[in-house]
Amino acid sequence: MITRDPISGVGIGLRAEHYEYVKRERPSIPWFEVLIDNYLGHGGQIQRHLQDFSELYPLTFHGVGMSLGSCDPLNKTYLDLLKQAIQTYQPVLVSDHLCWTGFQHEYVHDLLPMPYTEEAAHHVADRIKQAQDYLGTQILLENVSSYMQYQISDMSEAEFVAYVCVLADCHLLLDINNIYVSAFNHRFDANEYLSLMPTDRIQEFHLAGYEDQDDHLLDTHGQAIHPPVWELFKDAIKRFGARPTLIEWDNNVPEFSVLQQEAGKAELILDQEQHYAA
Amino acid sequence: MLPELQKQFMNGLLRKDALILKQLDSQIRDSQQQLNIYRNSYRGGLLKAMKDIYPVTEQLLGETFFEAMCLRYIEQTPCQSFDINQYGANFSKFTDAFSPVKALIYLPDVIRLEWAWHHAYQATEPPEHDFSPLLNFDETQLASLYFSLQPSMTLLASPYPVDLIWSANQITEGESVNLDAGPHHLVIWRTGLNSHIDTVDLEFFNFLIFIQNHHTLGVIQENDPQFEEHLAIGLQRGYFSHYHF
Repeated sequence: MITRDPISGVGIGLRAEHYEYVKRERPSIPWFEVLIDNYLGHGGQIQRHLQDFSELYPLTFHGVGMSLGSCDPLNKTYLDLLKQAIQTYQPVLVSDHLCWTGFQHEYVHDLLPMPYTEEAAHHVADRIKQAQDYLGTQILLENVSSYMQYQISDMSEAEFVAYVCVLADCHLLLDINNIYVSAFNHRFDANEYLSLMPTDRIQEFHLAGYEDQDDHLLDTHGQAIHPPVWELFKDAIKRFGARPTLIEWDNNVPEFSVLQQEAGKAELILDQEQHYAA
Repeated sequence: MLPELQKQFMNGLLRKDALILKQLDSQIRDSQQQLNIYRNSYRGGLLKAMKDIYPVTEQLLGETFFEAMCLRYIEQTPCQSFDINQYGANFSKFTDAFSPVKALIYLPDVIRLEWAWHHAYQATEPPEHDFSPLLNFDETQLASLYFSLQPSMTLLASPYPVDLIWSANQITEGESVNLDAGPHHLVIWRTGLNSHIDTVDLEFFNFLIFIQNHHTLGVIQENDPQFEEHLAIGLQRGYFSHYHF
């Protein structure tokens, strides 16, 4: 097992398409993020891959299975498996989303947004605290892309995200692409969103590509990062300073070299823009 | 309020209930359109999972038909596990009753075989068990023992040579398979990192079914004239994960 010092620079989301290449070529990537739900409770090659990569690179765990906003009880089976994986593989960071993914034993495996209300903020914050206590680690909470808004919301998404992080005393994984996508879909100002984020809680950035569906943007992680997302990333670095940054690509996964090129662009921005950070 | 909202949303997403639409803010986008974006994403995610699990079935049916059939299945079958890898487990039962594919009499068993392969690939390994103490047991002790099959293992009996159909459709459309080749009895399982499909004879298959159904070795011996031979084969191949009294 390699040492678990804090990570920096630009990591890449590890996908099955690149397992063999990464093991063979050992590319110079400072860290990888694994979608931990794909490995929990499984043996064989799946577990072997996780073991191998944990010995080669610092890893971060990223999941959707906590369903932190759901009104179901926290899933003990999932948390047990996650806790076991954390103890075994010692990830540098553990993250999940500010959303819910199912209710009453039906799972949609999608990131469903919360209504932005006082009740919802306390509900999800209480569950984050329970999860953190159970796992024995502070988690990073990621803002999600959304395509709908509830009438009962009485605060903005940015206010809600910041409020929940404070209530739950958790870290923040700021997904720049998600901010841009939601800002387009709901006609809000992405820079104003950034201005409301709790700087000291931000531990990581995510970057990905969206799909333009004419009247809305869809967060598909299936294309290169778009120019306005790069611009927003620059704004974020100027505002918050450098943080570990991840390139995500889940659909139409290209050659690893394409991800490295995206990572190179992000590295350049981290180097150039962080000098402006307050 | 929050539980009711989530209940309404799930009913809207999975069962096309319209109640949730009144809860959505439609100033920018129509409520139904907002819900449809999530419906499409939900269906697309599960469809992708099924395409990963059932590539041979997709090859046999063609992409368009397979996807339409999967979407019908998805409409009827909400995902009930946090682990998306568990989705599609009863696709074969759905296919049994899906009249448009009735003519493909072997299809449900091909689907069972693909699910068994998927299960074997991801099953957890039990710790290695020491069977050597069996040599010191007397007949009475042996008769009261139970064996367990490897957790990765599925026993599949089919009237059709589904393993040959599976092999012939691994990458591109393969050679034709004689459906009159007779019933095939299959053991789908994994050792280490390698998954296998073993063809076994009916008698040995029935022996494994006895083991799977948690009968003692004594009961199995009374019903299987080739008991000792079968037990030796099972032990030699590593089909058993452990034994207990």
